Order: sequence, then structure tokens, then C-alpha cells
Amino acid sequence: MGKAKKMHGYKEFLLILPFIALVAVFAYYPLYGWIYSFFDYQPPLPFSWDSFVGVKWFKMLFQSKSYISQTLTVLRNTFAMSGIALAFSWLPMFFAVFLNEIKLRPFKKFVQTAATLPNFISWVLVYSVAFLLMSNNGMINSVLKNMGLIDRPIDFMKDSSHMWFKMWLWLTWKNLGWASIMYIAAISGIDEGMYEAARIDGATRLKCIWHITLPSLLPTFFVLLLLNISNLLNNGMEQYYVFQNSWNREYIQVLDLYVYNLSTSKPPVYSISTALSMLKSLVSLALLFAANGFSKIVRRESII
Amino acid sequence: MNIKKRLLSTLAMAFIASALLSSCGGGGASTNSTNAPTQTTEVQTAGNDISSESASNDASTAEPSPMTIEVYSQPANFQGEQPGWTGKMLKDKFNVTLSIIAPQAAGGDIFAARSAAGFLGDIVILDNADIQSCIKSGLIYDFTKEMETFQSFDEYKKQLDYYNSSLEGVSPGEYYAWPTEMTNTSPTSFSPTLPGVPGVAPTVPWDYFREIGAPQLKNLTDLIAALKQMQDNHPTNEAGDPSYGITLWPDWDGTSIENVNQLTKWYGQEVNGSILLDTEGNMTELTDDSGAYKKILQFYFDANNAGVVDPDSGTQNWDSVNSKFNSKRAFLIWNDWQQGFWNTSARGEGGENYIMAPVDDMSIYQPSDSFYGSGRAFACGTDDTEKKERVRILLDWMSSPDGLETIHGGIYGFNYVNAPDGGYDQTVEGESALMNNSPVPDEYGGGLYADGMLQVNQWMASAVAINPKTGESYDPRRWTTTVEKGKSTTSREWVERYGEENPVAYLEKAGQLRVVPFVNVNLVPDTSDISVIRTSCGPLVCDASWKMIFARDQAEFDSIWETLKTDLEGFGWKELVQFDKDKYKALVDERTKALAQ
Repeated sequence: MGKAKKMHGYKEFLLILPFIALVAVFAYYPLYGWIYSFFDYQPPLPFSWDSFVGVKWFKMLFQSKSYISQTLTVLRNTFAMSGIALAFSWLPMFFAVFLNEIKLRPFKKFVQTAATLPNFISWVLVYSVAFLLMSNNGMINSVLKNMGLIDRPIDFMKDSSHMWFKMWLWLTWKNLGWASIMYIAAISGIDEGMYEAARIDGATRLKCIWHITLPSLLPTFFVLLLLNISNLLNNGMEQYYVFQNSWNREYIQVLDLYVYNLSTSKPPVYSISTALSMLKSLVSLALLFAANGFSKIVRRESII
Repeated sequence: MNIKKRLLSTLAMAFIASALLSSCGGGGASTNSTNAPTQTTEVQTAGNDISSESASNDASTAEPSPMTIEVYSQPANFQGEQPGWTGKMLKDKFNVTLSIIAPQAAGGDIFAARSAAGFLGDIVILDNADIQSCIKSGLIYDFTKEMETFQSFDEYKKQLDYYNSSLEGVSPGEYYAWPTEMTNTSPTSFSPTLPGVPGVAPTVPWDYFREIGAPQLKNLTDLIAALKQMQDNHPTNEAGDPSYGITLWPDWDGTSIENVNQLTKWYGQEVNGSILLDTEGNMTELTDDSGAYKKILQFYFDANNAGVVDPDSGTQNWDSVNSKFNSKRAFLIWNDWQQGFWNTSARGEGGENYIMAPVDDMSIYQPSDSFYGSGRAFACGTDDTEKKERVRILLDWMSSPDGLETIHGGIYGFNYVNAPDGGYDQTVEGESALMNNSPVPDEYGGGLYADGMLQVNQWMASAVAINPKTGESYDPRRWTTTVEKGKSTTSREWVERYGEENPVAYLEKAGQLRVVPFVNVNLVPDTSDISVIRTSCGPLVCDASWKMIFARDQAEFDSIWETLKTDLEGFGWKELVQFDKDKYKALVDERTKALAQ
């Protein structure tokens, strides 16, 4: 009997083996690439112990005031933009709730589709649209000029004020519909009976939202929030890459973009950008544990 | 049980289908078909009447087996199988299909990835520094025996000896690499690609310039005034879109703004990384107050104050600039190739072509012909005997007069024919084939002309090299017949105004053209430390430069410049400047040598 059970165990292990292999290949094997940060790697010359430099690149990131302040600026931008996004992370939830309250089905479908669609447009195209709208000969300036409101075009693209907020607006325009899908799914899972009972007891629509819908969505919200916190440093780079120019780089260069700019320079500096992205992973890990600890204290349950 | 059966039968079907498909696929499917299955050849020729004909013509010389040759080309913009008429020609001549690997299309990381795998391509075209490190790491192979059999070997032996002897790890008498774009003229002669047109010079639409009286321009201030007048006369193009004196773009910026770098040559200095190199071989740092870099920034700033700079400069991308040049929305251009956006023979006849407007205080930095090569080289990246032989045949053709004629001039019979007085003459279709990307007749392989050109995008001899068969350059634009046809209202009126045959002649007479020998030196590559400094300083310089061009007033302009100089110090700028000075000293030395020869 025991033997049969053991065999069964082996068989089941075989079933998950492919997935373990996948994780090993795609999640753990790439970590081997971290080794680049301890060498002076210059392709096409192969690795050799002669090019081992220890923690030189990590030191270099902090070698002088200028480098430190550059790294700090990049970190500031990263945290600021992720922070704004985090502070407004309730927006998709409310969007889903309000969308759910629309009773006219065709209108509801239209709003949802219109809000989700931008998610499928690449950032490169978004920038072309932005340029067509906001360049000096763009649509907005032409319209304002024709209406006689301005006589010199407004230079939107070179304006670097409120850059973080503007970037957040673009991000929200692109992501809001998509991010709310999770909540729409969660809402459809709420027991209809609760609403009926509440209505019999005389609850208004707002009260239903406040006492039934929102509390049912909170667990989803917190899971997503914690995941977002651990992703704080990963705010992507495509958006910032396409929008960056000489006037706004000081505010727009985030960590991922900085790493990208370093590794695609000519000649590329793979080693130092690896070191930088390694630091990033460590900070992300720390943030995840911190958020989880916070969750344990506040909600008395952990997500990991 | 049932499911199992169904699964098995589906699999079997899929297998049969794939087997069928692959047998129909022909040569394209297999790259290693060295044993030349006769079946494959049959399938191919049966599908194409013309190739089967030509194949039977060549049958006397035992037909080579089909082979795919991978070409790793640093300058290529196209990745994939060589298409169109060149594709067909190579297939017919050598039974070879070129598969081009282009880091510019695939991303630079492909270089690291492929070199780590130990194979870049059968043919590799790389920058000098990479050629050197690939020799060290064993990625490219000795090609002495093969290269010595090339038809053009003796013609270029001097340059080949020079180049290969400069490579570390290559013994005397050995040949590993063939420099790109060599010429058979001389190290100090200057043969402009467009006859009579210098590499960089202030160039404006002749009709607009004539309209304001083609005034004498003493300096950049006069140039701005002229641009201003032209822009006031023509605030929009014919379609009604706003036009500007100057339009700039940031896409090509590196350690500094490319649009400024090009113009520093007007005042005899060339930007090389962090330094300015002049025609005499003197070097100063880029941020020198009296250097040409600051002078040109000042020029753009003044121009912007005068309202002649496109306000979208600095945020627009190259595509947007491209359309502006194509529709005459920018009046000042500088590089010779930019004339291609607008100039045609019809517009020339109407007096509308762009042509140089001389500015008296300029002394233009003009590199000579790339006699010794242009900074890259061809090499063989395979050790397989059979492949190596095919690479030999291919490169021999690409460096022979026959090959170069085709590469630079197009298809004989379609693009050009024999001229009655010797040499070649472009056909009417040939003249416009490249510009209009016109369709190519099916007998030559069909497709569009420009798409079908050799997509490797770098040549074993320059277009200005002399074709021994005709005694003229390979470049159709330089043929006597073409130059004769190119004389137009624009050029006639210009000659009348300035009394010289063409802009180059004018500048030479005025002593404003400083030709420096173009030497092909294997410069020391950046160390990782220098690379980090360069990468950190680049954005600082570019950002500050753009802000200076669009500064509110002179005080802001100056203060950004001063701040930039202090900021750069913190990132190790001094170290970078010293490194670059040492690096380019080798170049200066070679120039002196070339002049002494």
C-alpha cells in the first residue's frame, strides 16, 4: 500500500516536473547573468578570470558626487512616478464599480471598450499621436491659433513642468480600462442575494456600493496593491523612452530607462547596467517583504 | 483509447503534412544541404523558367550546390534573405542565397549573443575595433590564400598591406580583412560623390536665394539674415505647411548634437567624441570657449532668436524631418546627401534645386577619398572549407570591376548602357530607379529596384573608385554623360553669379576647402571605465546644447554653458578628453604620414 502511494507520489511529481523546469529555465537560469556585473565584459572577447573586477561597478555607481546625484535623481523619478500611480491605484476599482452601475447595456459596453482599447496601442504610436496633437504645428496649436486665442504656438513638448503628473495622465488613459477588468470580474462574483436583501431592508444604491460592493472588492484591491508595491521600481521604460527629450530628461529618466540608456550606448556598458539592475532586484525584494510585513500587521494575513 | 487513437492519427497527419511542405519548400528550407539533393534543384528550376534557362547555360561549368551564406553586417539596415534583382543575380551566378544579419535591425545585443556562440556569420562586416577583437577571440579566420586570388587584389594591395599590418595578431604577409570603401585614386585626392559638391557646405534653394538677390554672405550673421528674408518671403510651402530656415532633429545625437557636429566642419574642426580636431591636427576639448562647437551653438541660438529655427527641433524625430526636407519646408541643408531629398533634373531646370551659398569666413574641413578604407572591414567568419571557398568566390566578385559596376551602377541593360564615346550612359529608367524605387522587369528578378539592391550596405570599393574597364568612377552620378545631362538652369545661373564651374571649384579657388587625408586607423577602443564616462557625459552635453539653442536670452545661453562645464567635471570629463586626445593622436600621425607620401 505504502509502495503504491509512493509510486503515485512520483507520478504526480513527474506531472509538475515540466513546470519546475520552465521556472528553472526562465526564472532562475537568467540570474546566472548577474555574473556580468563582477567582470569587465567586452564582447566579443569571452569571459576570463583576467577580467574579474569584483565589486568595482557597484562602487562606481557611488564613486563621486555627480554619479550619486544622478542615481538619486533616477531613483527619485522612479519612486515619484510609481508613487503617484500607487496613490491612485483605487481608480480602476471605482471605475469598475461605477461602470457596473450603468444600467444601459450598450452604453456600458461602449464605455468599457473605449477605456480598454488604448491598452492595445503601443507607446510609440501614443507618442506619434501626442506629437501630432501637441507639436508647434499640431492640432491643438492650430485650433487655438485659428480661434485667435494665441498668436505664438505653445510649446507643449518642451514644457517640463508637472512632468510626473502628465506621465501619470497618459498612463491612466492607457491603462484604466484594462486595470479595471480584474475588479469587474470580482464584482460579477458577488452574491446577488446580498443586494436583494439590502434593498428589501431599504438600502439605497450608494449604500449598496459602500456596504457590499466595496468591502467585497477590498481583498482583490489589497493583493493588487501589494503586488504593485513590489513592482514599484519596475515602472517600465517604453513610455518614458518615447516621451524623453532634452528638456524633460531630468524628471522622466526612471531606473529602467537609465539601465536601458546605459546598455544601448555605444559601446555598451553591460557590466554597470547589470550591476544597477541587480541592485534594483534587491530593493524590489526588500519592498515586497516590507509590504507583506505591513499587511500582516494591519490585516493580520499575509499574501505570501 | 479512442482519444489516444485520434491523437495518434492527428500527429501522423501533421507529420505527413510537414514532410510534404518541406519537400516543396526548395532550397530556402535547408541551409546545410551540402550534399545537393538533385531533387531540390529540380523543384527550384521548374518553378522558374528563366533561372532554369540560365542554369542550363552555365551547365558547362559544373554547377555549384545551392548554399546559404550568412552575412553579419554592422551597417546593414535590412535583415533577412537578400531579395530582388541582386538576390536573383547571386543565385544565378553562384547558386548562393545571402542571409543578412543586421544588428541595426535586430538590436546591438545580437553581437554579444552571436560572438558568445562562437559564430558571427560566414562573411562579417565590422567596425575596425570589432575586427581587431574578433581576430583576438578567434571569430574571424585567416583569408590569405583566398584573398590573393582576387581579381582586384593587386589593385588594392598597398591598402590591404597597410590595413592588415596594423592588426594585432596578424603576421606580415597574412590577410585577414578587406577594408571597406577603398579607392584606387590617391590618399590626398578629393572626389566628391556628387560632382562639384563638397561634403558639408551651407546649401539653400536657388530660386529663393536668387529672389533675394543672391547676396554676398560674409559670415553666419549674414546667413541668418538671408534665411530670415527667405522665410519671410515663403512662410509656407506650396501645400500651405509652415516652412523654416533651419530644422534640426535629436535622433542622431551621441556624445554631442549631431546637427552641431556637422556644422563645426564649416570652421575647420571636426568633432571626435569629446574633442575638436582641426585640419592641422590640433586638438582642443569640445567645450572650448573658442571652439567651433560653441560657435555653431551660438549660430543656432541666434537663428532661433531671429525666428528661423523650427520650434519642433529637439522633439521631432527623423521621419518628421524627412517629410519636411521632401516638401521644401527647411531652407538650410548642409550634407551633400541631403540634396537627394529635393534636387531633380526637372527642378534643376526650373532653377529650384538646392545649391551652395558661399559664406566668406568659412574654411571647410573636407576629408579626402577613403583611399585606405572607411573604418570598417570585410572578413571571413567561417572555417568550413566548402563555405570558405564560396565566400572567396562571392567576395572576389564583390570586389571585382564587374561586381562593383553592378553594386554601384545597377543592372547593365536596365540602368545603363554603353555610351557612344566610351564609358556608360544611364537610361531614363536607370536615372530614377533608385529615387522612385521603380519596379524591375521580371527577367532581372522583378520586385522594386531599391529593395533589390545589395542590402549588405557597405562596399569593398568606394563608388568614387575608378573602374578600370571605363576609366571613370563606378558611381553613375560621376559619369561624363550624367554630368553633361545634369547641367540645368540652377547650375548655369549659379555659374553666372559666382564665376566658377561648381561649388568645389569655387571653394578651392577661394582657399576655403581644407582637404585632410582620410586615413583608416585602428583606433584604441574605449575601456569600460571610459565608456561609462562617455555614456554619462553624452546626455549632459546634448541636453545642455539643446537648451542653449532654445535659451531665452544670451545670459541664459552663457549660464547653461558654464554650468555644463562644471557638471561635466564631476563625471570625469577631463579623463575622457585626455583619453580621446591620445586616441586621435594616432590618426593625426597617420595623416602626417599620408601627406608625406
